[in-house]
Amino acid sequence: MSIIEINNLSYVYMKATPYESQASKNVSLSVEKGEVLAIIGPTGCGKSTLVKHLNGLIKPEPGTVIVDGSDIGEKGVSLKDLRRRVGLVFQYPEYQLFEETVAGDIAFGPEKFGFSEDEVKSAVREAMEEMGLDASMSKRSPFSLSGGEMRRVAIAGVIASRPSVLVLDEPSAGLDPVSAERLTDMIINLNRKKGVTVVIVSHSMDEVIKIADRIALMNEGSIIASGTPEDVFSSEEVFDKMRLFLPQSCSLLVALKERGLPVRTNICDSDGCVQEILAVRSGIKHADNGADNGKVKK
Amino acid sequence: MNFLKNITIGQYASGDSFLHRMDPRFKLVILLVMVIQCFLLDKWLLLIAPFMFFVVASFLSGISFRFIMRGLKPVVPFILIAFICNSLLTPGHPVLMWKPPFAFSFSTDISGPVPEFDFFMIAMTAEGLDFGFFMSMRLIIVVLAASLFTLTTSPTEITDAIESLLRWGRPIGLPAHEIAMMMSIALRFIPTLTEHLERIVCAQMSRGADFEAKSIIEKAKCFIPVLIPLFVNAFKTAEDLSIAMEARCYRGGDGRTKLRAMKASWRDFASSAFVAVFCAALNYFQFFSRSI
Repeated sequence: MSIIEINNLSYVYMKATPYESQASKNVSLSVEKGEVLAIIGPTGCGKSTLVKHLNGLIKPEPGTVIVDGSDIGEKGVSLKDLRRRVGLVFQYPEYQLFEETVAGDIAFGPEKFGFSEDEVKSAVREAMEEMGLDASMSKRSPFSLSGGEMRRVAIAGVIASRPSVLVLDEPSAGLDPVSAERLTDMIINLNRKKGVTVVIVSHSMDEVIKIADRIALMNEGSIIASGTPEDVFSSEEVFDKMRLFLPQSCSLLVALKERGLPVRTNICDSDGCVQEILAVRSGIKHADNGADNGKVKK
Repeated sequence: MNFLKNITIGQYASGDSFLHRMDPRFKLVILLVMVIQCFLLDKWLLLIAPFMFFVVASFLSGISFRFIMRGLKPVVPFILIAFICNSLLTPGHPVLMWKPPFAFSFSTDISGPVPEFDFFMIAMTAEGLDFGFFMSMRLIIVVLAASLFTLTTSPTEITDAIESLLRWGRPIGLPAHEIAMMMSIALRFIPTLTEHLERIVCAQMSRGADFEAKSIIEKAKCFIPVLIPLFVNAFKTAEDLSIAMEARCYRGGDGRTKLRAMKASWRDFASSAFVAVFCAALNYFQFFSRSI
């Protein structure tokens, strides 16, 4: 069952000025309940604009965005309610922190969405737990934290409102690899344990390959492919366009194939990649009986 | 979120037109001279000439006239207020009069001049209309001229021009370079801050903040979650910038050369000459019409 459905959505940035540019054209996409969908594409391909539509920050015209069965472009649809159900984490969300204490900042969302006092408290506690923030941190100033901690506080501030869909715009941009991985794990957890539908925007394939059930590739404002990671990477045409954005394991396989080895290139995770190379290698060994061994090692 | 995006005043539209290629110093001086000239004229009929001057200039700028006129939008209320107040409050010969039925009057004679003071009388006078027209024309011309200048001159060029012109004041201790540097940094930060502001507003809105509160106190409270991050950001960026400048050995304007030196060309001399003749002619007409 799809929880979000986008139909023929287009958006023109700064309409009727010399700076006018088409940010997205004819985008259609659906997000299934409980899945992790990754939207990938180069910088400026319209990912962030698309994400703003999901939250009603931009009116869909032309096109429709249907969340949980209700068209958000229609009059009378409560945007506030929509924003509670669809949590949106912006790029570099640590820049939105403003309260005196961590707990106060996380409580901002739930308070605005009309949670009762007890609900707010438990929501804050839960959100901090989920983001791996120690309870002792709650009385500290968010501005005294490290960058990674600030980011997690900001994300906690969004999930505290208990959204059923969590949309993250490049959540690990600018983090060190360890913090980035930890954050990714937390997001996976949120999806697996709480059943939160996750839409994650990224331009790093390596990051999303780990968590995405489905991938949508965007380029120049439109979606050029979508499906499981394997499906997307096996399409030749997509391949040519998105070469630079392949996960490292995949580009290794492509490079090997170009040198004449019979490897499959639609494998995305690093373990599968290692196995494929080993299998192909032993296959060649058997066939040529050592004659081409030097070539393979190269 | 599209607010702050529709303001054309102060925006720069890159191009390669006659106006774009003029020396910014000449453009600035011509702008000042023309604005002063407008304030020296005392008949709205005469103001048509400088208005036409800037209309022609905007065709020379290569920017669509519609886009330039959109810059006038924010000043329309001011123009209207100036027009209405002037036309109603100037004493003189009435063309339209309205008197509330409950009001008693000192004079019932409509054909004569309105008395200096009639509290209940609302009268549009010929003199007022004339003066209102005059004021609005002047406002329109000044805004048009200023936005034409900023549309065709990049912020760097503007500050370069100001620095170069302020250098005349250096013997009396005017810190020309510092003023120009401060201005260019301030200008440079407007789009950055706008972008930050928009992002923060969006982020807080998606966290449930709404900016359509009723009372003034509520409204002010709404802006705390926006202003605090904005200021934190601004201070951070300012510090980063100062460190970056120091790391590149910035030490003021002495002995500093420019990547793009400003050079006057035939365009500048031709337009200066034209403006000189234009202003002389206007002043002559003004004097001439007064003496009749």
